[in-house]
Formats: sequence, C-alpha cells, structure tokens
Amino acid sequence: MIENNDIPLFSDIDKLIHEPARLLIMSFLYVVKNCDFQFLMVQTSLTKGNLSSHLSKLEDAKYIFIEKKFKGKKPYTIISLTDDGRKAYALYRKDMDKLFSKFQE
Amino acid sequence: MPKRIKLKEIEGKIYQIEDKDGFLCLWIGIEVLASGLLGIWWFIDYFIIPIVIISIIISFIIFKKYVTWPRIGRVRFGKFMNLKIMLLAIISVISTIILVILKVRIFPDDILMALFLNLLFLPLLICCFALVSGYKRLYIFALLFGLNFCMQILLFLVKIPEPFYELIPCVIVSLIFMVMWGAILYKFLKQYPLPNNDNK
Repeated sequence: MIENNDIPLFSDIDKLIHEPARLLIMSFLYVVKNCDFQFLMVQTSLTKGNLSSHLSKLEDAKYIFIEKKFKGKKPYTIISLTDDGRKAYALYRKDMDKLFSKFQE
Repeated sequence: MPKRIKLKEIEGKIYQIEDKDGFLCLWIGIEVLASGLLGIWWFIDYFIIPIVIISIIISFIIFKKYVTWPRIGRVRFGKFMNLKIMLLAIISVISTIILVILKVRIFPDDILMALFLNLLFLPLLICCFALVSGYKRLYIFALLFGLNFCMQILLFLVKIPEPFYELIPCVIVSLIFMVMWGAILYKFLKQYPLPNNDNK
C-alpha cells in the first residue's frame, strides 16, 4: 500500500474520467468549445447507445452540459464541458502525472 | 479507440477533421489557377474576382451543410484553437506586408527576385501554419507551392514569354490540387456514409 501523501492513491483518481471511452470524450471536449453528438460518435468510434450511456454518466456528474435542439424535424444534440468538468479533467491529468512520475523513480 | 491521448494531437486532429472533405485543396487549387489566369484576364479582373470568391464561399457553405456536417458532425473550436488561428492570421498579414514591401519598394521591376521571394515566403508561411496547427497535410501544400514557384523561375530563366512562365506552372499545380481534392473527397464519402438519423 502506498502511504506517501505527496502522491494520489489509486482510489483518489477520478474513476468517472478514468474509464477509457469517457477519458477520450472528455479530452475532445476539453479542447473544443462544443460539438454535436455525431462528431463525438465518429471521433470516439463508439456506438450510439454506448456514447449516450457515457454522456449520461458525465452529465449526471455535471461534467458536461447537453443541449437538445431540433434541426427541422430531426433532433440535434450539442455537448460542451462545464467548468466543473474542466476542473475535474485538469485535476485528473495532474493526479495521473504525479502518479506516473512516482512510478518512474 | 486511440492507444494514447495527447491534447496537442487532438487539436491537430480537429483542425484536420474540419478539412476532412478536402475543401481546402479545392479552394487553394482555384486560387492558384486564378493567380495564373490573372495574367491573361487582366481586363476582367475586377468583375471576376468578387464573383468567384462569393460563389466559392456559397458553395463551401452549402457543401459543408449538406455533405460534410451530416457525416462527421460539427465542432466549434475552443479558445486556444481560435487563438492559434488568430496568431496565424497575424503572421500571414505581417509576412504579406513584408513581401509586398520587398517586391515593390526594394526590388521593383525585378521579376526574378519577386519569384524567388515568393518561393522563400509562401511555402515557409504554409509550413509555419502546419507547425502551429498540427495539420500535416499543409506540408504537402507547401511543397506544391514550392514546386509552382520553382517551375516559374525555371520557365522564366529559359525565356518563356509572359504570362506563360506563370500560367503553365499554375495550371499544372492547380490540377494537382484538384486531383488531390477528388481523391480526398472520394475517400471521405466512402469512409463516412450518411447515417440513418442525422443525430441523436
């Protein structure tokens, strides 16, 4: 068991972001202002259902904001990262950096 | 799913996604062709230029709306991505001013020097764009621009009369751009078919 207080424990790492698909979604949303559902689906290669489920989890944690609109008769979903999501992602990166820097020593 | 995640690479990928349909190739191809044709159509320049530019912009918007966005979705660049574009715009304005000053003030009426300056400035500027944005296709564009100016210098040195020393390389290079666009567009349409429902 690691006991050094300088480095985050595995249990401290944000599990919600740590999941590979959600990490990829968060990474894309971190560099853009917003994007639509189709964009995320193409870039992450996730299925519609899978992406929806991951987005719902991130939305529940208030990491992302989902805006549902209509374009003509077709539904149109715009997704963006909230301030909380941005902070959580930055913290996750910091924690992972710390963790890996300790591993290398 | 990628094996590693790098934010800079994601930014580059997003710039690249915006041009996944290769429309930039078409745009540059038309620009190169137009710059070559200006030498023989100088008497209708003022009428043709705005019409061509407006029609290209309209076709660009229609194309993006009905062909590109339904296939790969739409993204709005983040703050840093927009800052990079601003920085590139500033760099290109400054280099254009320097290029014009060099051509008009320092080396007036020296066609060969003007061609050498084009060869030095424009490919370098495009490489700078590629480096900052991480969009690697721009290096090929820089190479084609370099090829264009090299051919112009060569044809000028072998005494090909005006405007042909300019027109011939421009037509060749713009054709290469158009063929590239065709290939990119074909690959794009094949890789990204229209989804059944446009969005969730």
